[in-house]
Amino acid sequence: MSAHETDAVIDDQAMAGLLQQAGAREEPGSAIADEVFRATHSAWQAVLMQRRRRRRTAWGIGLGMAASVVLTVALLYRQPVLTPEPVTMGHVTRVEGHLEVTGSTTDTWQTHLPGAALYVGQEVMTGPDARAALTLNDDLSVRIDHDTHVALLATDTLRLDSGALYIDAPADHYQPLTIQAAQRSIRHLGTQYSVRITAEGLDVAIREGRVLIEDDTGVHTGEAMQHLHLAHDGRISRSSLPPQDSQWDWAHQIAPAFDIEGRTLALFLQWVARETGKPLVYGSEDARSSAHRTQLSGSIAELDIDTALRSVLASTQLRQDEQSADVLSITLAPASEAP
Amino acid sequence: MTSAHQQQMLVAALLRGDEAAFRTFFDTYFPRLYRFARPRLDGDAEAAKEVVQATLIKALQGLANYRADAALFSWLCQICRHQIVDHLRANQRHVRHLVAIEDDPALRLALESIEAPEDGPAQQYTRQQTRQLIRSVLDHLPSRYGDILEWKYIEGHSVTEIGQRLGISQPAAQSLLARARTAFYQAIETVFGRTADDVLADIQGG
Repeated sequence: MSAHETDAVIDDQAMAGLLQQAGAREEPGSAIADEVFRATHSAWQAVLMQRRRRRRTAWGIGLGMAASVVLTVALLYRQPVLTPEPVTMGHVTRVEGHLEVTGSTTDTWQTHLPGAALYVGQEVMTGPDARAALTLNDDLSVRIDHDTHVALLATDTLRLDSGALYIDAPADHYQPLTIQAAQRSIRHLGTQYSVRITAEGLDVAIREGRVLIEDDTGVHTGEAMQHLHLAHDGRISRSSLPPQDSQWDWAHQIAPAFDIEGRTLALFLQWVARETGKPLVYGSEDARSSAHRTQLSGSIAELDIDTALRSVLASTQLRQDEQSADVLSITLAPASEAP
Repeated sequence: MTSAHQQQMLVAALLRGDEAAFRTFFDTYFPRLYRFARPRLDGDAEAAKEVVQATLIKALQGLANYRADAALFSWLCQICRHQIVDHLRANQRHVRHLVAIEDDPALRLALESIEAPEDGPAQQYTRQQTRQLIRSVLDHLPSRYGDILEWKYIEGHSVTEIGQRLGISQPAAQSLLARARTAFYQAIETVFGRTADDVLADIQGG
């Protein structure tokens, strides 16, 4: 036993006195701890995924070297060389104007239509009159604005070279997508957000959830309803941006159509609320249960959201209260208006 | 097993993707970093949350480069200092809020060398500074010694209760508490250059 241990036994009272004089250390609140835990856990998962990918690549290089010996022998015998299968990334869900896409191994641009598959290695481009919506493998929706050029680097990584993207991650989405843009990388934590390259720098707007933006100076967090401007000189300025702001309009104008066939009216209204950023509010319990009971049929594929909402509601007992601009307020129609 | 070895094991488990290791890492270091950052950010809780989150993410991204030549917490504090400067620069706030008593170079060295004590600075501090330094000492102790000492001597929990809280037996908790006390005594002498009794007498006497 050291002298300190002997002292410790003897001076238990001094220990208590000293600690009580100092007082308890501050504990961060549980809400803060939970929030930071979720963010850091997600970042840790991303680090692990990246390490696994690198390990696979290292294995691939080793296997590639071994394969090159085999290929050399094959070439000597003039055997045909097989190219690797392209990795599917998702598909095109909606296009306005022309969506140009390169081949995964060639630089030739081709027009893509809804339903076309997308592969890792391709590049996607819209002109001044075009917009598009993509759905990636894990149901993550990517909207592409006018004059945008984006490269599909990996199943979880896009590189934005110009223009703007809007990301809509489902609530249960857990695989983070990284967007590389203007020497920064942006990763979401279950969210709706947009990234736009401008002459002055990079604009990141968060409608829901949170995003992490990493640059040479560190990691910066963007919170819901914030607009972050990241200037070329590294300065970051923040301003508030309501989820119903008109800045978001372009994203819901190119939203993939909601398939109403066999779905309830309540599900359709939830989709409208998410796309427009307006909280869904029922005027009464009767209105809510009517929405949950009503089954829809038909299609709204060619309609914009506002027209689709009016058309669908017109065939039901429910109406939108137009007085409430910031919420999607749904009430029962007067008996005289019911279909 | 040494504290340095435990930290290396924790880092290795984190790199393997061990969920329990992540929980231990977070529970051990998040509150300490938060307490480290907040006074340096003028008490701004929101800024402290953002800075500590950025620190932990940066650390997790660079974990493979951690070489255990510094205690894990000291390494995290180093990252946190950079994040604080970045945050203040990005938000264009004046750096006068940054100065904390334990940022004095000699004290910083003493706090960071708690696990390998050498002769520390013998200096007089105000009561408030002394209290702050004691709380910083608790944060710099290895493992969860600081928590255990607080549970025992401030919250008044019994050794059995501490054991239950940590999921270990009563004799193991007793042994852990003895090690925590020893580490605390040594750390106090390293930081203050005086015994714990003398420091207590100073606070009480004024």
